[in-house]
Amino acid sequence: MPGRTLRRLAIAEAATLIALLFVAVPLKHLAGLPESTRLMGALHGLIFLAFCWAVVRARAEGLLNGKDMVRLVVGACIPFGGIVNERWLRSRAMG
Amino acid sequence: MLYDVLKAAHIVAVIVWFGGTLVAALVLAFGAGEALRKFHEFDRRITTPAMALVWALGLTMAVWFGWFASAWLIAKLVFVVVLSGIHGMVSGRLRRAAAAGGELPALDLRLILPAMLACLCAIALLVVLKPF
Repeated sequence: MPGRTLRRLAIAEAATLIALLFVAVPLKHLAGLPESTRLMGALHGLIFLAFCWAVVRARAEGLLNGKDMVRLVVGACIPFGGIVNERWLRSRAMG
Repeated sequence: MLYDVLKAAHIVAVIVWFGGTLVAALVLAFGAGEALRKFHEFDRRITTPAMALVWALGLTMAVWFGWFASAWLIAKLVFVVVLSGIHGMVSGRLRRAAAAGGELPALDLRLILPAMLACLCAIALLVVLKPF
């Protein structure tokens, strides 16, 4: 179903960014656990790349235009933006 | 020992990913009908998971063994991102062509194949020589 992967990745990207900023970073600075950001940062990086890849694929598939791509990638860089992205994708009835 | 095993798995995944992307691009340029559908399925089941494995194993090695401090790795990542973008583009077009029964204009390989080869050469040189 077109768009389903993109929506799932938008949610996963939002969740890992929130976990990175609101769990791993406090753990690093308040509990002295630098490994938390190292691991969560790598995981979030992986999910973010997968999301960007899915955006490129959706563009090549004809589901998104250039403006949509920019909107989704910029949204993914903002905390909670991934949730807005997912709702926007759902509202476009992409699956 | 574990690092070597991870590296071997990473290299196998790279070969499968690159080979799958290359074949998918060729099918988009010259294939039609059933071939498009079959290779879309191959891309979905084999090539895309291989790309995910490449990234996962690569990042694991880089984080675990502290390679992120090396400039060559950052340069390599740029080429891997470009290669991932090319695969995303090929994969999306393949999906669209398979859904449309091959009604899509054929892919122009004049830019894609040289770009893929250039990225692969740059990645191999950066990994082997580690120049900076």
